[in-house]
Amino acid sequence: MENKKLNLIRFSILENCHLTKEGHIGSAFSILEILFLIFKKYIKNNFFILSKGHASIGMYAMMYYFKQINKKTFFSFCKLDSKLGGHPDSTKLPIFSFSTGSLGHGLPNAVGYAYALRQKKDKKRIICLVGDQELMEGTTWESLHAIDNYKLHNLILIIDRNKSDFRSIKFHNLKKKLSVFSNKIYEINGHNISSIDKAIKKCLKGKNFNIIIANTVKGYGIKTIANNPAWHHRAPTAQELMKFKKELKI
Amino acid sequence: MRKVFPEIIEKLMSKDKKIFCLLGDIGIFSFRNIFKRFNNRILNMSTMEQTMLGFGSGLSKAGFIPIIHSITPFLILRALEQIKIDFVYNKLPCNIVSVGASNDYSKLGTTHHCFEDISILSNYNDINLFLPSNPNEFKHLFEKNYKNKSVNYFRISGNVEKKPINNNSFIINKKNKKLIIIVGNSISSETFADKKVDLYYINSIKRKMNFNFIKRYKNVVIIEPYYGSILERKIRRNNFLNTKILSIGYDETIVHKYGTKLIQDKYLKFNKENILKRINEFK
Repeated sequence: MENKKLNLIRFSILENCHLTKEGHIGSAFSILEILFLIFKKYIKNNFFILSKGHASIGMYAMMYYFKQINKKTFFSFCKLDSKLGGHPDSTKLPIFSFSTGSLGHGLPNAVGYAYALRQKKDKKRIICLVGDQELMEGTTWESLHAIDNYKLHNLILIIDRNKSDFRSIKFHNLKKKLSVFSNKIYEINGHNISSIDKAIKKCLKGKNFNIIIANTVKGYGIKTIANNPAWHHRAPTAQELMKFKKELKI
Repeated sequence: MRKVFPEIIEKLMSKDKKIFCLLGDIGIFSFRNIFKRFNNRILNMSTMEQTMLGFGSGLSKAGFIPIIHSITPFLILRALEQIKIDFVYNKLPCNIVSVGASNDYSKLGTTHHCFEDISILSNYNDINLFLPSNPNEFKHLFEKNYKNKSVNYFRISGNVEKKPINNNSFIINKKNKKLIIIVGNSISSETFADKKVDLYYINSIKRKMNFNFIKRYKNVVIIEPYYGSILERKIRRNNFLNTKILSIGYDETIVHKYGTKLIQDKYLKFNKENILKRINEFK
């Protein structure tokens, strides 16, 4: 049932990117199940930061699916006066907590916000979704130091482990490296909604800083796009769109 | 100025619970009273300047007023993207207070110099730039502006003026033919006390500035204590094309010399004698 919904969302992304000739489809598809669950269950009572801002079209598609924006707004993606740019702009809609797009900004923002909420005795949790290439940014590790020092247990870090490092310096033993900063790291299949839900629930119950490593596939859901670097920043042609529609069984 | 900064902050923090002070491991001992009194509203975040700014942006988003303080090159050059995105693009207010302007740390070499801060930050009209030249002036500017819901940059440097000049204003206005504009602590206004020139002082560079007084003069000299002719650029945008302008500032080059600031400024030809010589030659 959820797969059917997710395929509809997937197609709305493909269609939008085809029309505007813009969008990071692969990065959006790798976090679609995570976003779906966050929008369905967790965004109301928690504070969500999409640090990997280039996957914005995934977030916009969720906003459209969950009726937070209308069709006209969704399909205005990247047009001059649109509220939905290639990367989210926090001044356009309150749901974009911070403007992101430059890697390594969302987590430091989240850490400061987490500190502020604790200071205010606000019980909300902050869920920060980062891409695995953001782990190459020094600010990510500086932030982990800050989380550890200030004991910010109101922050949940989700890492979209879509192996973007295949083309660069590798992250060997990621879990081991992260274990210095958290003793609760859940490594899950990031495309399995039930696994994601269980992990987030555990994090919300937990009293420590928790990390979820979500193993995902870049471009998940469409064979041609999956794990294909040519599709990192590319829009489908009309012919490709029809082909993908069939593949998604829409 | 550097000495009064902790005093100003302490006083404000005791009245305003929204203030949050983030330090980049600089001048920690001078902030000891604040650490004692408000230990959960002052953090020494060490040398993680980029994260310190991102963190400050999180505080600002939650309604706090961040004051972020460190040495200029590490705060402005290293963390420029954080200033641009986390504060300016997000439209989140903050107060960035730097210490060690231009070659204030002359003996420490280029790693600790920052001549380019104003030139870089002036690219964003959304940032208010404050360059006081007297401790009381800094106090006045800070207290007046710290909660103005904007991105503010305060440049703490050497004290030059004996008395505070709180706002951009004329110091000498006697209808002389030549106008000298002094920016911040570039040179003392006393230098021109016996000269036949009008004198205008600028310590605040903002989006909207009134330069209509320029029309009265054919020759204008602008003295700015950093790289780039920022004021000239702003004035030219106002179409004062008939005005002849001489901009005096530091040459845009990396410095491989040391010595005291006075000696280094002489080497860089940004000392009183050289400035006066250039003004006299300007017809």
